Amino acid sequence: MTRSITENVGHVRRCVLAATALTLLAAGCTFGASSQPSYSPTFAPVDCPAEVRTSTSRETKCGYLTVPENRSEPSGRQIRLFVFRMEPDLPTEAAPVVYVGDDLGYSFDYRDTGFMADHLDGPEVIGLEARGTGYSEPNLSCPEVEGIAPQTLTKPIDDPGLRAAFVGAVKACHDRLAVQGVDLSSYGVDESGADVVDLARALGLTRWDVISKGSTSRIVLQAMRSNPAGLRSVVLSDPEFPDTDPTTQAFQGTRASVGELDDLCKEDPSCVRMFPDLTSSFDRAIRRFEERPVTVRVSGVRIRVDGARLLRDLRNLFAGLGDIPAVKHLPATIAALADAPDPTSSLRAVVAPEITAPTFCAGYLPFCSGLVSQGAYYSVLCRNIAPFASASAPEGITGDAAAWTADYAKGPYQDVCGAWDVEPADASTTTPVSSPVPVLVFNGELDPFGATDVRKEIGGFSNAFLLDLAVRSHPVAAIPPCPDDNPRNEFLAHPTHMPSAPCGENFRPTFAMSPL
Amino acid sequence: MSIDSRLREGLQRSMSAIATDPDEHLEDARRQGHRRVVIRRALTSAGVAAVVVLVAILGPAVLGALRGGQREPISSPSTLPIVGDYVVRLSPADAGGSGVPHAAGTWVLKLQGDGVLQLAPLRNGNLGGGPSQFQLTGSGFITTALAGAACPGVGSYTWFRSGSTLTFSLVTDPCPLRVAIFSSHPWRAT
Repeated sequence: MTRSITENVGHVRRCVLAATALTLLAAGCTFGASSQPSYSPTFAPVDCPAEVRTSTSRETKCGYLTVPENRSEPSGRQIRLFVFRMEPDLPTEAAPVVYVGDDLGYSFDYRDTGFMADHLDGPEVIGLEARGTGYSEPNLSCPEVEGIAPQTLTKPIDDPGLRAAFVGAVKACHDRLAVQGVDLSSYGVDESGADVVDLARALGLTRWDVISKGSTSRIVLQAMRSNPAGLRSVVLSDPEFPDTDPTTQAFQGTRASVGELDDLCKEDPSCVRMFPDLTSSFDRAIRRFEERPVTVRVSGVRIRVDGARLLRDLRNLFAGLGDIPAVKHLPATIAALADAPDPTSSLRAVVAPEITAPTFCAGYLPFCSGLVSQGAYYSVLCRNIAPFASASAPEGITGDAAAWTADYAKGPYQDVCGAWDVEPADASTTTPVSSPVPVLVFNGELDPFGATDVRKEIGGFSNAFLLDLAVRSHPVAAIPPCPDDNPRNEFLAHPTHMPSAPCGENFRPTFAMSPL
Repeated sequence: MSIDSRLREGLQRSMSAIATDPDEHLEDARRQGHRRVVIRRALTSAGVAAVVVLVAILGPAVLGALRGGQREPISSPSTLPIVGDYVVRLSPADAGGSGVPHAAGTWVLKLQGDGVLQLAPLRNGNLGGGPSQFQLTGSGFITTALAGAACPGVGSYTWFRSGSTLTFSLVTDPCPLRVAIFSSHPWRAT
């Protein structure tokens, strides 16, 4: 009896020790959770909106991915990200392709998305609408900002009243969303990158590829930092990189595009004979309207055109070169704007997109035909870009050119972050990304929003393939006659090999001698 | 052995079993009492430790569930509650008040889940314009419908949906045409 009691006490002591150890272990896990949030992203199906369902011949299903708005508070407010799944027509072994959209802040253009899906060789296409955009909830669009669009057509970019109205509208949008409980600091690329990883997790993807077009590359590159499981390859079309400063890019990218057009023109005997120095013509056109602004009517709408507007709209024209006929007429159009006695018709053609473009889109954002969720863009701008941009660089580049300074160095986007109050991201989100995952980059050399030194930017990728395409800009859809389809499909099938792109690499337009 | 002797012997064995040393038993009792205290303390400690472990492991999940219950996503499960296609008929009198008499007729409104609004007259397509934006703030509705030359600024309304009827009430809007279209009559879902 005595022995059995002693044994019991010993057993109890062991239990106490074990329980204490478990307690310490559990406490350790709990403290660790503050740096490594534990949550489970979930996916729930919903009916597809009609525009999604009808955008492709493929069977399409939709749903919402639920994730924490702020992953440092995983049990806090949850948000829902819209996802569509365009299924393969035939059974396939190909890895699914995750598509994160075109440019930051923009809703998907489902016609173009369906077109792209229909031209991929078989894989399922899984689309994720970035947080704050499209059907994702909440959508951070700012009708307040759109409301001042008509004013922007008739006033110079540095008009104090216009700028005050813009800042007021940005602030009103910020405050409305903040009152609704939206944590606007959680809509940067750091959280969006984690969304991509969570999507793969929630859907149980064991191997997957990613495609982005334009500035949503920032989201993909951020996702790559965590070496997500199963990521097989990445295709970036006309990417922005984590350290891209949009203001500096505006000078360098636009200059490089004009220079590239000049070079293409010099390869065409007729073009070089008629337009021997397009870079000078471009500068002369800007100066012409800087010195003598005019007002033109387009579809009944009056638009005041000065040098700064022409600069923005020419950049917009370069960015939107989605078809070869427009490229063909570009040298003649620039020459007409510089020197023609009456350039009105060319002027109308160049500024016309402003009528339907979102506020301060043309010349600032690469794609102005769709609807932008301004707040989603502002959060990235003010969290991931502006805090790390060099304040002095733009001034140095502009020299004494008033239009460049007014549009960019002292342009309206310099005012946004004063009204769009968000926490800056960690500086690590702007460092170059290194990864062994194969990456294919399409680089359109006419793209005024493209990186000027792509080779340097992709230096951290040990398996990167760069396709420099001379007659290509910032397309949302593929440009005939050399669409991205073939090299992209070839790469997705064999991501360790450089795809062939003889059409895109060798194609040169025959320029027209008449302006737009 | 006689019966009496056997009885005496039995009684003596019983008495020897009863007759013990009191000091020795006192010590035993003290030891047993101490052991019981040790066991009780040990069991209590083990119980407390187990509770701590359970709280540490399950607490965050429970708190998370409670918080999660309080913080639902902004919109309804599938789409915004206002999403749909609607029509309204503007009388010549309504249109005349807006300063755009030829706006009379049937207007079609499409509100999408991505915050895109499309508004166009059934016949005079020139008045419609392109897609524009709307945002909901509880019962508030703001929009840039007809933005551009036809309508400057942002229209602000309250909205109420009952069955297939959607009613907008004006808060502020600098555009008389938009005011007439949105708030003259309730809209009917199609």
